Parts: sequence; C-alpha cells; structure tokens
Amino acid sequence: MFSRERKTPLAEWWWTVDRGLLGAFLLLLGVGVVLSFAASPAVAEAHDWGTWYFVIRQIAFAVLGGMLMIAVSVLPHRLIRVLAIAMLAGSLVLLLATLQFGEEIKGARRWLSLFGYSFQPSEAVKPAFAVVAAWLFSEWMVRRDMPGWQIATVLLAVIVAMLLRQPDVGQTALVVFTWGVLLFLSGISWWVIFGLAAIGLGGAYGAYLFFPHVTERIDAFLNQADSGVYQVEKAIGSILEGGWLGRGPGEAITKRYLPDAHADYVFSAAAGEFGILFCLLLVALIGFVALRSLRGAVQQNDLFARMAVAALASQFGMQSAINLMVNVNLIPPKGMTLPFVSYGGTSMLAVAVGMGMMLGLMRKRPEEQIATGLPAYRSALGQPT
Amino acid sequence: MTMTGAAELGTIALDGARKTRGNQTRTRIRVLMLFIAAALVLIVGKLVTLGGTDTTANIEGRALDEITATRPAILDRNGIEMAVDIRVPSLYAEPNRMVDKPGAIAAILSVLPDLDENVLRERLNRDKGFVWIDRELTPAQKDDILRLGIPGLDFVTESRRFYPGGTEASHIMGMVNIDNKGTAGIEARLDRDNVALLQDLGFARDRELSPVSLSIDMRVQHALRDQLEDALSRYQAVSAAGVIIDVHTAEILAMVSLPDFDPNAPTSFSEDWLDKKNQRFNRITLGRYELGSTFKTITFAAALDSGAVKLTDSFDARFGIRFGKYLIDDFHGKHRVLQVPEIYKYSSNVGTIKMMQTLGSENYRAFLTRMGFDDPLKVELPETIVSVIPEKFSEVGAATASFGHGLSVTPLHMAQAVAALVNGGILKPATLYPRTSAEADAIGTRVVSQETSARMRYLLRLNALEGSGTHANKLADGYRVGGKTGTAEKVENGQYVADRNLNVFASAFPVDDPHYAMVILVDEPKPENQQSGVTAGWNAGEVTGRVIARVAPMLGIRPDFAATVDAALVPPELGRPVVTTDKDSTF
Repeated sequence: MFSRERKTPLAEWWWTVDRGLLGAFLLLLGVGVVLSFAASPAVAEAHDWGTWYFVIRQIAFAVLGGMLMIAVSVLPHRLIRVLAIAMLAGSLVLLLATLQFGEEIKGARRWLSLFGYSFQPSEAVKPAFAVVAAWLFSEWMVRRDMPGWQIATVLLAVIVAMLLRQPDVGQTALVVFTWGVLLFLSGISWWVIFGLAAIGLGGAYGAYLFFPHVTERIDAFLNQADSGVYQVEKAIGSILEGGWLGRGPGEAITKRYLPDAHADYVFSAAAGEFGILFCLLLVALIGFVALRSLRGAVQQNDLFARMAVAALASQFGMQSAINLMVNVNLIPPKGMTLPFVSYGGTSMLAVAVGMGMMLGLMRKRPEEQIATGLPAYRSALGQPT
Repeated sequence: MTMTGAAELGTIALDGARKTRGNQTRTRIRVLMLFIAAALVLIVGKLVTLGGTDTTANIEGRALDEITATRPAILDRNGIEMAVDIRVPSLYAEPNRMVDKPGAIAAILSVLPDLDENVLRERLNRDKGFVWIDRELTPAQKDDILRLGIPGLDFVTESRRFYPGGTEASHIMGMVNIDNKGTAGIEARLDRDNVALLQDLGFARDRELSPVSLSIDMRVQHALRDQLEDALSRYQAVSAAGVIIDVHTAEILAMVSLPDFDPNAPTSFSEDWLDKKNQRFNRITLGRYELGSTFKTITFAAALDSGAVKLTDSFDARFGIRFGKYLIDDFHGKHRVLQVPEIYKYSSNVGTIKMMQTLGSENYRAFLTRMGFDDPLKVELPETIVSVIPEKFSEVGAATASFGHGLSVTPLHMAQAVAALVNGGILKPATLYPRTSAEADAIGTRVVSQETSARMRYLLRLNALEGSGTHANKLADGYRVGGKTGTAEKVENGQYVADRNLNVFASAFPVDDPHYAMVILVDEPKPENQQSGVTAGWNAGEVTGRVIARVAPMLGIRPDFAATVDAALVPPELGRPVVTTDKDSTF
C-alpha cells in the first residue's frame, strides 16, 4: 500500500509526512482515551449521565479527530489555505451567532447548539486564524505593497472583539499570541516587540481591572495562602495524592471532587492515578511535538509554510503549556484544554484540523528542490507562492 | 553590458534580502522553541517539587510511618512471646473529602453510639485534612464502618509494643519510644541491626515481620527473678542480680537485675528506688564490681594451668603478708600451712597471694586478659560497660587482685569465665541469641587445658561440699552444685565501707557434667535471722541453691545423691579424696 514503486496518493503521503510527529499525535489521542477512563466517570456520574458518557464520546472524537487530521494532512498547500479561509469565515459567522443565540454556561456565552450538537466556535477560529494570518504575513514579507499584516491585524481585532464579548479571555490570549508570533517572525524590530509586550502586559492588567471573573481568579491566585480556589486546591491535592507513582487506575480519590477533571484538569486527575512520573512523560511528549514541529518549520523553504507551521506549532505548545501551568498552579486558572487529551468535541476536532494542516504543510516536497535545482539545505530561499 | 550588470546586481540584491529574511525567520523560530522549552521546563520543575512533597508525613504531629511501624515479635527459646506488636485500627476522617456530613455523622453514630454527637459534628466541620474520630476500635467495629461506605473515612492501623511478661525480662527487652523505635535493651539492638532500616524503607509498615528468637528461657527467667525478689525481702538487700548461662554455648538463659522496670510503662525506668535515682540499670552487664573472692577461682585456674602450682602443693598461711603499711590476712584464718584445695576451701587470701606470686604477677595479669576480662562484652545489649583492670599490677596490686580487689568487672564477665573453666577450658562470648555448641566452639578460644578444667570442677565442688558453698549445696541437694563465694566491701567515696558488702556467688551445675554457670549478686544484705551470717554463702549462696532447686528439673537435670559422683571428681594426683578430710583437722 505504501510501496515506493507506484506513486499512489496514499504512498506519497506516507513517505512525505513526518511520521514521528504523526505517531506522537496518535499517542496523545490514545493517552486522552486512557485518561478519560480515569477522569471522566466521576464527572459523568455527578451529572447523572451514566458512567461511560464521556468515555464513549472521547473515543468517538479521538477516532474522528485522528481521521480528520490525516485527511487534512493529505491536502496540498493551496487547498489547506482555502480550507483555512473557509474555516475562518465559517467560525466568524458562528461566533457572531454565538453572541446572539449562544447558551450561557458558567457566566460565559461560548456554546452554540446546532442540530442537537453544541459547538464552540472559538476553538475552531484558532487554527484557521493561524494559517490565514501566516499567509497574509508571508505575502506581505515577499511583496511589500501587499497590505498583509494590516489585514491580519484587522482580522485579529474582529476576532478579539467577539471573543471578549463572550467573554473568553483564554482564547483571546491565544489568538493574540498567535498573531504576535507571526509578527515576531515577520522580522519586526526588537523595539517594536518590547513595545507590544508592554501593551500586552497592559492589556492583561486591563483584563484584570475590567473583567470581574479574571479579577477574581487572579486575586485568588495571588492570595492562595488564605483563600485557595476550589479547583486549584483539588488539582494540587490530586497530584500530591498520586505522588511519583500514582494510586493506580481507579484508586485516586481527590479527582472525584475535581471539577472539569475530564477537561481542563485532566492532567491533575491523571497525576492522581498514574503518578507524577507518568505526567513527566506526558510533558515530554508534548514538548516533543512542539519542538519537533517548530524544527520542521525551520526546515521549510516555502515562507508561507514556514510561517504557518511555526504559528500552528507555537499555538499548540502555548495552549498545552498554559493548560499544564494551570494544572500545577503556576498561573491562575483559565479555560484552556490540553490539546488532544482533554475531553471536548469542538476542541478535539479543531486541534485535529490544525495539526492536520500543520502535517500537510510540513510534508516533503521534492518538486521544490527540482524547481531550484538545489538540495534543500542549499535553497535557503523560499519559493514564491 | 552595464544593463546586464545592473540586472544581475538587482537579482543578487533581491536574493540577498530574501536570504537575510529567511535566516531571520529561522532564527526567530529558534527563539520560539527556547521560549516553549522554558515554559515546559518550568512545569517539569513544579511537578518534581510536588513529587518531592511528603503528604502523608504527619498525623497530629506524629509521622504516620511511626504510628504504623511494626516490630518483630520477640520469642524466648521455647517460642513463648516476650514482646509482641498489638495492631489496632483507628478511625479518622478527612472532612474536606466528605460529601454529606450530616448523613455521615448519623451513620457513624449508628456504629459507635458512645461518641458525643456534638464533638463529632464540631470535628467534621473543621476544614482540615485529618481528624481522629475514634482510636483503637475492634475489628468488628471496623467492618461495620467500612460497610457504611462513607467517603472520607479511613483507618490507620496503629502499632503498640506490648510485653506480656511485664517486668519479667525488662533489662533484656529494654524498651521502645513513642515512635516504636527501640531505645534500650534488645529492642535497641534489633533497631541497630535491621528493624529501623526496614521501617525507613517502608517494609515494616502494616505487616508482620518474622519473629526474633532469643536464648532466654522464660521459665528459668521467671524462677531466677522470683528468687531474687525473695532475696530482696529476705535479706533486706538494696539490690540483687543474677545470670545463668549455658556453659557449652554461652547462651544466656536468664538474666535479672533488681530493681527493674516495666517495659510497658517506660517511665517506670526512671522511678526512684529506696530514695535513690538511677538504680534500675542492668547490673549484670552495666554494673562493674570488685567481685572479691570469686576471683580466687580465676587465680587458681591461672596457677594450676601454668603448671607452676600443683594441687598437691602447700603454702604457708600462718602469718599475714605485709606490703609496706598494709597487712593482708585471712578473713577466717586457719593460720597454718594449707594444701592448695584447702586454700580454696577456706578462701585463704594469704595462700592465694602466695600461689599468685609463684605464678608471677605478669603471668597472672596476662591470664586475666586471656579470660576475656579486658574485652568488652559481646552480648547483644547496648547497656554494657568495660572492665577496669590496671594495665600492669604493682606488687600489692597483684596481691589484692588475686582475691578480687582493685579490679572491677561485670558479673557477666565472671559468668563467662566460670563457664570456660568448667566446660573443658574454652571461653565463649555470652549471647542472647540461640546458638549450638558447635557454633560456639567455632568462635571460642581455649583458655585452660581439659585437665585444669577438671581440677577447677573439683575445687568448685569441694567448696560447695565443705567450704563457703555449703548453704547452696544444701538447698540444691542432688544437683551437684559447685561454686565460690565472694564478699567485697563496697567502695563509697573512694573508701571501702566495712559494713556494706556486695556478696557474690559464682557457680556451675551439675559440676560432674557442667551445663550451666550462674553468678548471683546480693547487694548489702542483712542477716536473715539471729542465727544466720552476713557473708556471701548465707545469701548469694542460698539464692543460688534455691534457684538451682527450681530450675534444674525444668532444664532436665536429674538429681543424683550418690557419693561416687563427688568421689569421681577428685583428681588422680590427690591420691586420697580430700573431700573426706575433717574440716578442722590439723597437720
């Protein structure tokens, strides 16, 4: 099937895709399923939905996500770009709809019910924006007369405006971070970078001042000695309960009182059952994915591919890092899932599409080398797209 | 030409700009990699810190490990339990894990109706990770609580050390502290060997360790202690102690030192005794005494084994010996020429000094070393003390040492030495662990010849039949005891005090085929009644006799009243049995 002799599309995909990275993603999906057995039955039972409610869905979404990722990674660059634009447009419409018709859960309007399924458009907007903005920036870098970064910034402003209306500070931060990465890669001077960093800090302070739930969480984080946030306390308690080797599958107790043990706090719940050593392996796996895909970005000759891969990879890395830092109480809690591991249908599928696009963009393209007539390491210059 | 050049130049310039930009994005992606790696390293660091946090360390100030730590049971040589762990479940709650507190309170009260509802409610409503609900429940109550299925309730199995014998073997057992760590006696020794290590590694938690057997025979231990207690009241002594060892294996069968304490109540160790502090130590291993005339046994063995003195030799004991201003004379002097067995029998200081002088004081000092008096005790107790014996004897020092003055050893040193002198001449270090005679032989050292050993058995028996040991012999009739008394004036503030004696009886039985050696100490005894004396034969000797009469049947020693047994002990060179000579016969 994957023979080199006959160039079937599947064989071509197999020999050009980054198989190490693909394996790591599938492993993460598998870990997510295993952890859902540990983390989600308690949550499901608390909702009276039957013990295996989340487990079954997690498996379904993992399979669906894996297939979606592979399907997207088969696409050529052009189609990936088209897909990203369509996805961005679609999710912007849905975001708008969410603001109008969304269900309010825990003080935020993030969910949209569509044909009996609830859907979180803010998850889908992230990878789509990363690819579209990367394209705009790379175009601007090649041809200065094309107002790429200005368009990207306007897009960002629209998305941020809608996300903050929900409000969803975590996703906002991630989208702004993605934009910042692209701006950084596009070669702006360090002075501008420091200036923007200052504005970012100011924005964070503004969020602290103007969004009550942000204020609350940060205050709680800063004063955790006297008034610990419930989730944080339970998350740390779960990690401590597990110790190095964990209590064993099904044995941990603290995770039963950990809200969102299946979603945002799946990492802490895993620590209680499988131990800190297992968690360290999971961090290593995430680090492998983030660093290997960024290294893949470095190797891309095509400027758009390089920018888009870097944006998607750093988005994945950043989202994981924020989730893990919340789990180990390094930063105040914010709604952020652990990509591929946490429960969450939209999140899982959106990440799958994003990573599929990344894998697709990273595929080796022999035609590039033929075009320049130079081996990859010599053609430092990207081909005009 | 110029046009082409300009075009080329343009292309090159464009290429250069692109190349720079390409390299710049690559460099900046690497900066991103560093940034993400740094974030992950932070997370790993925090996780490792959390992993290093000890969560179960404390329950109300005490480490959980210490509460649940188990120790091996300690058995005597027949398998009787001397120390056991009692493990009881104690119920605690983790209020911050409890879901339905009012329901839990009602359920707990249904199983433990004696609990105060208000106290229970107050405890469960504390926002704490740990509160005791009830300590030391029965297994049935534990099952009932478990059957309730309340989350947030759990049990800790607490371990408590218990000594079923109470005070019986207190000095051997020692004690454990509140953390179940041995602080004295064999308990401390077990910790030094391996138990503490096991506990630290977590192996000794919530599970049984295989028991440890000792060489002690609890029946003998009880009989010895009973007789020593009897001695305290009978002779109004301030303290009494005794040790019985197997002469072939050097196993300690019994070891008692009174006053003692109750290891179940460790504070009893520091209680005053007769208005004095620190009296409850183990006198057998931690007491160092001038053992008086019992040392003559050693001196005789030294002289006979060297060949310098024969049993048939005689020494002039008509006059005391003067060393400068000191005059040493006999206590109950015969003041005549005495044959060697008579010197022993009458406990003649003068005769003993002359024998020692024939041997040579340096040879005598060397013999003390050979008998193990200089060596620290090898017994498995932390409470031991080293002997005080001058490196080199002066003339007068050697003279007094020959009858046991001016040198201090522990009673256990003496018991080992007596065992060696009667068992055929092999010195074996005393032990509290069981061992076979062969194992003991392997680590033993020959100190005197078989022949010397036979002569010492004869002398010990002679003294029991005709000398100071008659009281002991009478009480243990048929068990062929042989022994030597010692009466030492006690030293107080560097002065010998004439009316305060430490009385000793060092013996072996049955002396025709010795199995056991015994040393009995009675400190500051008073006469039992008008007719009785105050020397060692009257108290330490009598105690020995009573102990033998009680323990010999337990130890499987048959009484034998035949005169031939004693006659067979007489060495050939004496020709006629000295045993038959009249006590007051004159030459």
